Amino acid sequence: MKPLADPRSLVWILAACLMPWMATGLAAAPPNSAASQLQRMADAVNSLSFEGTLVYLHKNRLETLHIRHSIEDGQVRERLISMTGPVRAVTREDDEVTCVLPNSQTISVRRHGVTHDLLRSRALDPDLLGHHYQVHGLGAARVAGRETEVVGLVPRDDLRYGYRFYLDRETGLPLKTDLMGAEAEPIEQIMFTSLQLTHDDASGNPVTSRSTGPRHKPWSAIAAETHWRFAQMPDGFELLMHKAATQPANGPAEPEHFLLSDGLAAVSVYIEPDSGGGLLGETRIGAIHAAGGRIAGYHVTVVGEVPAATVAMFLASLEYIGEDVR
Amino acid sequence: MRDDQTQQLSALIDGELGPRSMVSLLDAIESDPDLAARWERYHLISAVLHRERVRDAYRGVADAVSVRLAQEATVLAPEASRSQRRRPSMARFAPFVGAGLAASAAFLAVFAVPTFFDFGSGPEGPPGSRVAVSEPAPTPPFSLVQGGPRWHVSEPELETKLDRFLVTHQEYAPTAGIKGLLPYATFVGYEAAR
Repeated sequence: MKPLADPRSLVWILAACLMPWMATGLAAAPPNSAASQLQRMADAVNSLSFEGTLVYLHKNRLETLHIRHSIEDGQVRERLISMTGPVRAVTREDDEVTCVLPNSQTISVRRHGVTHDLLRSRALDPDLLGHHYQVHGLGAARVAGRETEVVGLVPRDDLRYGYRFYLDRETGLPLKTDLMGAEAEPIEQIMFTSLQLTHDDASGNPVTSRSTGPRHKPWSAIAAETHWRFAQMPDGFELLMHKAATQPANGPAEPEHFLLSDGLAAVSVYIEPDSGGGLLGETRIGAIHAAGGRIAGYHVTVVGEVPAATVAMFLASLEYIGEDVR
Repeated sequence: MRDDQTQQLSALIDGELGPRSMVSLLDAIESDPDLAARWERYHLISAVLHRERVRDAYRGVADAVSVRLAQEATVLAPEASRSQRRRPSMARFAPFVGAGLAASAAFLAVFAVPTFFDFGSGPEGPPGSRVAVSEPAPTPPFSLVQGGPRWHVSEPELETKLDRFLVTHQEYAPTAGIKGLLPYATFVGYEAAR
């Protein structure tokens, strides 16, 4: 009897039959580690369009917000409006964010000098996070009528906050986020009360940049751009971005800007000529702290979603090294 | 005017200045016209931010206190000279008494007067406020909490500057590190309590 086919051909046929199943199985495999769930969260934020109502809780103050978030042609478009109290709104389109606040002029910030969405769409790096946070799967919970997997990021010291993400089992979106303080109690909470997905995944191109290469920028790369250095930064923070001071033709002067991060928490340091009117001492808005002071005739302001001690450390460690020392 | 006095002034307006610093600051307000002017500006800013009525009577409080003290000094002077004949040593305390009166008057101007008098219920105030003065409603055990300055600072320009710094920071910081998908939730959601 003539064989049906060469045995080698049978192997290829079998492989061809199994390949789609294998590929589908890998893609649809439930994420089984906390780190992969965090990655899935980052992917969902950069690829899904949705609209919903949220509540924001800080201490005993409860506010309602409405969000519309869409991905169009690889760009994040977002509108966030407060539904309680004075109208406060943020809209983000392309590289520009505009904020409307009560008793204040409209604030508009255009992001430039950085590769398009390079920072915003960075993938979480579990190895980097592991140095300063413990990543735990905390079980399942129900939020906004949907099933979620809860992932905890527990800081290894008091220089950064912890996080508890409630990730939608179906989409990976964070339906609830708890910002955890040193006492392992939530100090801020944000939670969807309703959520509608407005587009399929394929309807908009996701934000594509997903580099997992070295995030930080070496100080040697900016040595010619700045007269400043940090004598001793809080452990784990590295320079992510530096922008020299600029004076746009039709706008306010922009201060020198350092952005530093430990892979999760981030701090900005702004340096401008001291003309009075800057922050002296410390203040905060919710869990975001700021510290300011004068150094070598300049005014320095440190802002970040980190504990007060951390912004104070950044301010204390900043040194003016002058033009001749560079 | 020193930087620490400016900070103390902010703390005074916010009701957070300790009693020891308060005495020295009030003395400085009385002797330093620039500091006194800044003090008035802070009060006006605070009133505007808190959506309170701003009346011209609020302006020139420090000058009014000084003028009043000067008038009192002319009245007191003969008394002092008469008593000087009987008890010469008391004259040496006159400057200190004046300074004490100045501090007390300034203290009353800042704290006691707004407490005892309702500036918003004068003859030119709205009819509703006049009714409220004649028949004060019982104070409820709890009240409506309104929003205060977002950054807990008195200067609107500084508040705007900090807002701009925060927005710029959020725009450049990695989203995944800040509130998952909501980098602006605190910015929009936070409303400071007064």
